[in-house]
Order: sequence, then structure tokens, then C-alpha cells
Amino acid sequence: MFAYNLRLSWLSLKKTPVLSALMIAAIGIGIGVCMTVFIVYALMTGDPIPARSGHLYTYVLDNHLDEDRGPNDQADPFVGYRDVINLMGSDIPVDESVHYQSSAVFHPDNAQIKPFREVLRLANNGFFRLFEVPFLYGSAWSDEADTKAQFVIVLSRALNDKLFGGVNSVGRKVDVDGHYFEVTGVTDDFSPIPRFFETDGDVFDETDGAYVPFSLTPQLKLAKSNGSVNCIADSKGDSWEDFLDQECTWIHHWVWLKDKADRDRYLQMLKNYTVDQQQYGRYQGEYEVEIFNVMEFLKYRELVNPAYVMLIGIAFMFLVVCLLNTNGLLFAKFSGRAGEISVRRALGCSKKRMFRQHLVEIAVIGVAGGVLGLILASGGLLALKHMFPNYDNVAHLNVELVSIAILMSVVSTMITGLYPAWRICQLPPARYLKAQ
Amino acid sequence: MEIRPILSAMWQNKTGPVLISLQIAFTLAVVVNAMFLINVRIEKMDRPVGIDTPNIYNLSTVPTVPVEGVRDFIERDMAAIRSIPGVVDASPVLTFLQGGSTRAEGYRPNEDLADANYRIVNVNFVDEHGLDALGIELLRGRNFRKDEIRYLDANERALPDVAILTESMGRDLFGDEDPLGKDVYYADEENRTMRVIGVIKDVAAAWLASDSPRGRKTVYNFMLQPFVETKSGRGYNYAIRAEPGALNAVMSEVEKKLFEVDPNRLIERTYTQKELLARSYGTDRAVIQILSIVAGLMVVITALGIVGLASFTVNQRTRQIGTRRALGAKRRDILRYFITENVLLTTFGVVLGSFMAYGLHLALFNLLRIPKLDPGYLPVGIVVLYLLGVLAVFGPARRASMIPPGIASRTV
Amino acid sequence: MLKMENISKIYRTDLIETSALRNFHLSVDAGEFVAVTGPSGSGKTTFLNIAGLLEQFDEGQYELDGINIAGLDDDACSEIRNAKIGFIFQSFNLIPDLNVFDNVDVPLRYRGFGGAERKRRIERALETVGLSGRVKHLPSQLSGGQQQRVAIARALAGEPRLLLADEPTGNLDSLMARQVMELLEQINEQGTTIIMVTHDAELARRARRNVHVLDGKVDDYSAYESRLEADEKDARTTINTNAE
Repeated sequence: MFAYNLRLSWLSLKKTPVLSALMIAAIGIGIGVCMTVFIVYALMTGDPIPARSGHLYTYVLDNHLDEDRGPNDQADPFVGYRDVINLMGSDIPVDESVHYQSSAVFHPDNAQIKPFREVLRLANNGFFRLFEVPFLYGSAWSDEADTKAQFVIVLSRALNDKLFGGVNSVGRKVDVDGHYFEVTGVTDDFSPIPRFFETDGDVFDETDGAYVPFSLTPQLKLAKSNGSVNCIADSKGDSWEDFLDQECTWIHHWVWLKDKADRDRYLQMLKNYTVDQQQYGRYQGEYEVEIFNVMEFLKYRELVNPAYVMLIGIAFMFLVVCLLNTNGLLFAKFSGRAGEISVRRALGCSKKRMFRQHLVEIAVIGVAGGVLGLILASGGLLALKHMFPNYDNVAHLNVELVSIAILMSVVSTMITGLYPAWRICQLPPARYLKAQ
Repeated sequence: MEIRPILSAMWQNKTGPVLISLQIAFTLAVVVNAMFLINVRIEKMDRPVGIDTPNIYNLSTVPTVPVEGVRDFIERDMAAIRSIPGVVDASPVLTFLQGGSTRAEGYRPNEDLADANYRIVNVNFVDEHGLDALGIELLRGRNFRKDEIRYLDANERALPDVAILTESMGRDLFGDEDPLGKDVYYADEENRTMRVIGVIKDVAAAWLASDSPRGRKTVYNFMLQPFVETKSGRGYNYAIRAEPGALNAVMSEVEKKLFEVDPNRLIERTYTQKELLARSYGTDRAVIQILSIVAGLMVVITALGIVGLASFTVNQRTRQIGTRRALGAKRRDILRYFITENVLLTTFGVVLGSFMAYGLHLALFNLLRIPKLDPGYLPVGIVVLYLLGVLAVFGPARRASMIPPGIASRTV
Repeated sequence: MLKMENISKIYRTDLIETSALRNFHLSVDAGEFVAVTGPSGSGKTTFLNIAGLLEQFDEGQYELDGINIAGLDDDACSEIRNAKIGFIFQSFNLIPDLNVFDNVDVPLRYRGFGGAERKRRIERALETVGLSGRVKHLPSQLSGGQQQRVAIARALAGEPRLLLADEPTGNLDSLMARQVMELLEQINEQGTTIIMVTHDAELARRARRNVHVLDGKVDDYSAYESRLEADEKDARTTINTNAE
């Protein structure tokens, strides 16, 4: 019977090509617009690391920096160098990551390639474990490299392509700012969206070029780039050592906590720490200690511009208009075939069956609309990529989104079509059988 | 004319008319708000930024071989750039203006350390060529003198003795009093001060695209300090201003000249000021484009809906129309019937839509903290929808008017 | 086969009530060929709609092939229509988008027959009406008489117990009308009960029994009781005086 209904739907669509095309176009455009906006929104608000987002925490130790809060009206969730050094190695977290982004000039051995600047992240090896960075070759450096501040480096896939033509470069040496680093690994593509582990700078921007141990910070004297450094001014000296010693917040510290109890313990530890630090004249007056897991943190940082929420609303209203449109056209279409329905009813088709037949027809329209919507959505995403290159990482279709689009299309079309289909099946069969 | 019979005919067959009216209502609500939101953003992007945007470009350079005497390096570069024909002037800057990364600091008008007393300020560094190199207009006071410029380490939190700030910044700090000659207090507890020696026309801060109330309020809080940074992780930033129309020629000439001065260097992040501004307003442009497309498509869809339903009614009423014609209706009477019907539908739609537009506006107002809707957009939207309706129905109505009267007596 | 007792049907609008059938009695035995005549608005069509389970009735008893119809739901009614009743309409009511084969196929689909069974029945029904060669034609490509024969094939394919015909020759010229009538007689001879509503006195005369409806009632109650073969000629003249 389903096949028969499908065939009837096809005949019916063919019979009124303009009406059918209008309906499919209306649904397609509605779904296309909704999907485009929705995909951008979903990717921007989505959980970047679903498996672990509830266990990864970062915190704010707001050392009375209100006056430097900047235009965003909130304390930046960074930590000062002194505090990071003091707080690292606590036994509460399972694992932890400290990192900040800088940049440095790479001098390829190959004289053909001119020296170039590349993003360089200073991190401990916990960074790779915490954020599940995939490796193409080799691995992260050893704990020993961290503790002894060895000159080792992990390259991104793109940088490895550029420096070594994409071959396994583990064990080779790279000249960065005049220091030779030994490659221990090459990461595969790694682009969580948004780049939650570092929310200052451009969060939807590209990922890192290379990584070197955080413990090299005092030696390399690489300032943070592409992000904020918040300082309380003082009249200490102006060397890098003085800077590290200053009341500045700029480093990201994430910890992996097993459960709620550990979260509470960690928060308590932080509070105790600030109280303890008061003996050195720090954390005087009012200050703020807060802890966030990934999703809380994204919310706190208000990464999503409310303009996108507005667009979601508008896109939804757009879909409603498209569906109203389809609804009207379905009414028109169905009432145009009262005669045929009456004949079929006379020939023994029950209301339920008639209703099912119409539902199949509506579903066919829905699927067609969904497919058209997907085509339009991919076009929309392409246009977005074209207009705004930094959406490159954000905008792409995957199986999940494709199924959502089709499902959304079919479900919304079905809901739209239920009433016209029901109405048409209520027609008394006798009315249209007499000579017209 | 014959409004009552049209109404009662619609009442007999209400589903179609109700759907079309609802569609018109939704469309009006969205179109009116979209026009408003687009205009809010266009106005925002049209605000003066205070610098000579079309003729400025920026670059960042760093020696690949460590140099002794960064000050010499920068001064040599500057001299070379300024000597190029077509260059108006150039200056080292701390960060590119209105280009994302920035320095924001807090300043007070007096010794009172209360939190509320701090004003957030976008601070940038220039040398004595800065005003010229950026095309900033000095309103009162004077420019920095060469002897006031200090070359300093990036990590140094040194303060200058003098500063130049915008009119708005002056008003934010001192109200109606002239800030010229006053001292401003840096955001630490040591009450370090600097004297305001110049007041410039408003220059937009780096957060000029911010939609937060605080960001909007402080958009012109901008201050120049007579510093040149000599130790930077990302190289030294230069702002270069060309004579009108000479920008492209200047850009390649500058690059060539800089490599002549010192071949062991990187030149990177070359951005025209226009590019930087466009990047700052990226989200705004995205919103404008998406809103225009969505509102435009919505209008098209609604028009198609009207065409579709009208064609259908015309087909259904073929005999009825024939009968009317047989009874003496002229072609234009039939045309008028359908157009009147559509005007009535649009009227229902826009009445409902006006309420919905207001409701949607309230929701957006709460969400985006945008200014109140200018009621002038509503009549514009209503007129658009009336025109749209009449245009959309005209085709089917004309077709209806072509139906021959003879059809009434024929069996279909 | 069909037994209606005291059937009443009232149409209501906001303003008026129209009684379409009042205390309608009729009994038809299996194998009969009954012609129902009567002027416009007499209730013929309402009777046919109720007999064919296309409309509900308000009062009375209706038994079809031993099944009490009163109170059956839509599903059950549809099933009975599908399995036991065949319809033939004045305007043929073929589905214009379906070819001859698919038109005849419609009721069989709802019956749930398998593909082979459907094919066998469709071919046989089309053979009966003499249209085996036209299976791929669309209704618009056929003459009126051919269309009506397709409709008859469609009615026959389900092997109904009862055939309801509403002015089956009304849209046909006299030659085609005669062919259709002969076909109906042939079907009746093979055992299918036929009830035919018609204006045409000549057609009515060819039926084995005539029932005249006036103002929603069977006009001559005695005629309904009596058997035609007893006094065939007299009965026919009585009734035909009232026919148009």
C-alpha cells in the first residue's frame, strides 16, 4: 500500500507542477534559511568537547582588577604566572593544562623558504591529553621535558607540511627564534569550535601552528599574542622577570576534575590559597574566586553574540511563513481534487486510508523540500564562508545536520499538512459524485 | 464598491484567506523589524571613526636577525617611509587602530580611588607624527613634541607626562569642563598622573563594533601617549597615510624601501585601514546581509503564496466568473473584484501584523538592548505589503477577467 | 439482499430542515434488477447514497446482505463498499490521471489483493466490458461509452453483490446507452443484484422491477410489496404515468 501511495503522490505532484513546485520551493527555502542560521548558531553554541566538558574546569581569581575589566564588563578568566606556578601540581585534579598563545619566527633549513612567523603555543604536555589533541606522528613530549624545560616542539599538520613536506619529522630539529627544538610529534587537524580553551583573541580563528613546553616561558620571553593581558600597574622594573612577577593575569589554566566533590575541593583549595597569599600583601579587599566547567565557561564569556539569537528567531518566523504558504497551497491542491477523493471513498477507501494517502503525499513534499533546503543551506554556508573567511571552521554540513534538515522538513511539512489532509478526508463522499 | 459580498464570500471559504492574512502579518512583522535592525547597524557603521580610514594602511615588521638598538631600526624605517613620494606621514603605533587587539586601561579624573571613578580608555602610542599619520584633527592644545617621545620596553608600565585625548573622553572624565591642561590619574593606587596637552576630534576605540551598553558608551574613549614600543613579541606596528588615491602605489613602494633599509626582516600583517574596519564590523555586515536576504525571501514567498492561492481561486471560480460576465460584469469589474479581495486580505494581515511587529520588537529590544523602534518603519512596511499584494494578484486577476462569459453555460 | 425500513434522512442547514427521505421502505432480493424512478428532488439520490453507505441516515433500519448497517463506523462502511458494492455514475467518475488499468485497480488496492490476483481480476473485468485492448489509455482518450464501460469494469472487478447505478446512461447517446444497458442486463443475469436510478422511462422499463419515489417515499406502497411477474404490464403502466 505504501508503494501505491507513493505512486499516487508522484502522480498528484506531476498533475499540478506549478503548485507542487511552489510548495517544495517554499519549504526548501524555509528549511534552507533555517538550517543555515541554525548550523552557524549550533556550532557556535555547541559543546566543543562533549565527552569531557563536564569535567574540565577553569577558574577566575579576580585579584581586584575591576578597573581593568575592559568593555566586556567581566573579569577575564586568566591566571597570573606566579599563581599558575603555585597552583600547578595540586593532587585534586586528574590532569591539568597551562597554556598561552604567542608567536615566533621560524627559520627553515631550506633556504628556499623565507623565515616566517607562526602561532606558537606554550603549554605543558597535559594540554594534549586534556583537549584530546589527535596526533599524526609521534606524541606529546615527556613529563621530563616539562620539568626540565627541554627544547622540544610539537608541530601542527599544516606547519609540518610547510617545513618538512608532510613527512614524519619526529626527531628532526626546527629553528625557532634562534633556538633549536626537537620535534616529538605532529598533530592531526584539531579545531574544536569554539576554541573554548582560550577565549580571548579570535575564538573562531585558526588553530595553533606549534607547541613548546610552558616551562620555557622564563627563558623564551615570548609575550602573549592575540589576547589580553590584565595588569595592576606597579613601579617594578620592566624586564621579563619583573613582568612574570607582576600582578598580571594572562595564562589559561584548565583542570580535569573527577566529580562534583573534587570540584568543590578544588574551589576550596583556591579560596584557601588566596587567603594564604594575603600574607604577601596580595588578594586584599574584595576579590572573586569562581570555577566553571566548559559550558558554564562559554556562557560566562558570552561567546555568542545575541544577534545570532535574534537571527534564529527571525529564521524561525521565516519558516513559519513558508509553512503557512505551503499550508494554503495544500488546501488549494487538496480541495481541487474533491471529486477524485469522493470516487475513491465510494470505491471503498476509508477515511483513515485516505488520510494516510495524503500524509504520504505531504511527506514526499517534505522530503523534496528538505533536499532542496539542504542544497540551499550548503549554498548559504558557501556564501557565508565566502563573505566571512573566519567562518571557515564553523560552516560545514555533516551527516547529523543533513538528517536534522530532512527530519525538520518532513516533520514541519507533516504538521502543516495534517489539517488540510484531515479536512479533505472529512468531505462527505456523496457530494461530488453527481454529475458536475 | 462591493465589499460586503466579497467579505461574505471569503467567510464562506475562510481557510485560504486566513492563511494569506497570517502570512502577510508575519511578513510585515519581520520586514519592519528587519528594516529597523538593518538601519540601526548601518547607522552604527556610518559613525565617524575620527581617522582618515581610506588612505591609511598598517604593517608590522620585525628583524629576523636580532638587532641592537631597536630605536635606530624604527627611526631608520620611519625616515625611509616618510621620504617616499605619496606618503603623507607615518608613525609607529602600539596596536593597529580599530583593528581587534588593543590596550584598554582605566583612568580617573581625580584622586578618588572608588571603582565608579574609573573610565575605560583605549590607549594607543604614537610619535610626534601620529596625528598626521592617522589624519586625526586636533581641536585644542598642541601635538606631542619630538623631545616628549620615549622609546620603551613592551612590558614596561611606564606613564608619560603628557597625553592627548578625545573630546568624548574629556567629557566622560570632566563633564563640561575643558580637559585641556588638567591631570588624569592612571588606574593604580599611586596616583600617578599625566597632563592633557591636546584635545582631538573623536576617534573610535578598538571595540567600536561592541553592542554591549558599556562598549557603546565608551566607543569614543580614546587616548594617545607619546611612546614608541621597542620590544614586542609580534614586531613593530606602523601606520602609514598616503595621499588620496596613492595608497596602492605607496604600499608596494614602502615594502621595497623597507627591504632596502634592512633585508633581514619580516613584513607581515599588512592591512589597509578599510580592511580592519570591515573586519571589526564583520558580524554587523553578516547580520545585515542575512536579514536582507531573509526579509527579501519572505516577501517573495508571500507573493508566491498570494499568486498560488489567487490562481487557484480563479480556477475554482471559473464558472462563477463566467456567470458574472454573462450577467453583465465588465472585464475590469472582475479585475477589481479580485484586487479588492486582496486589498481586504492585506488589510487584515497588516492590522494583525502591526501588533506582531510591535511584539517582535519588544522581544528584540529585550534581547539586543537596541534602541526603541522608530514608528516610521511601520507605514513603509504596510505600503510595501499592499503594493506586493496588488502586484501578486494582478496576474491571476487578469487571467480571471479574460474568462469568456460563454463558459457559464458549458459543462466543465 | 437489501432491506430498508422506516429510513429517514433530514438535511439541516442553519435556517431550514429538508426531509430527503421519510419512512422509506424498500426490500430488494438477491439477483433482482430494480429501477428507481422519480422526479428531481424526490429523494432518489439520497436513497442511492444511503444504500451505497455513502451517507448516514437518521432513523430506521437498513440491512445489507445480512449486515445491520446502522451505527457502523467509517472503516466498516468503507470495507462493505469496497467488497460488496459496485458504483456506476452518470459522469463516470474515472480518475483522470490514471489509465484504464489503474482505474480498475483502485478498489482492488483497497481490498488488499496481491499483484497477480489484481491483474487477473482487472483483465477479466475489462474483457467482460469489451475493453481488453485499451488498458494503457487515459480516460480522456476514450469515448463516453467506453469510459462508462471502464467504470462498469471497475465496479465489477471486486465481484460485488450489489451494483448501484446512478443514471448510468445519462451522459451517453442512445446507441451507447443501449450497449451499456445490455451490459448491465448481462451482468444481472450472472447473478449480481442491480439497483439503478434513472429518469429514462425506456431504461426503467427494461428493469425487472420499478420503484417510484416521490417526496422521499416509495410512491406506491403496494407496488413495493407485489411481484412484477404476476402483473407485469399493469404495474408498468401505472408507474410510468408518473414518470417524466
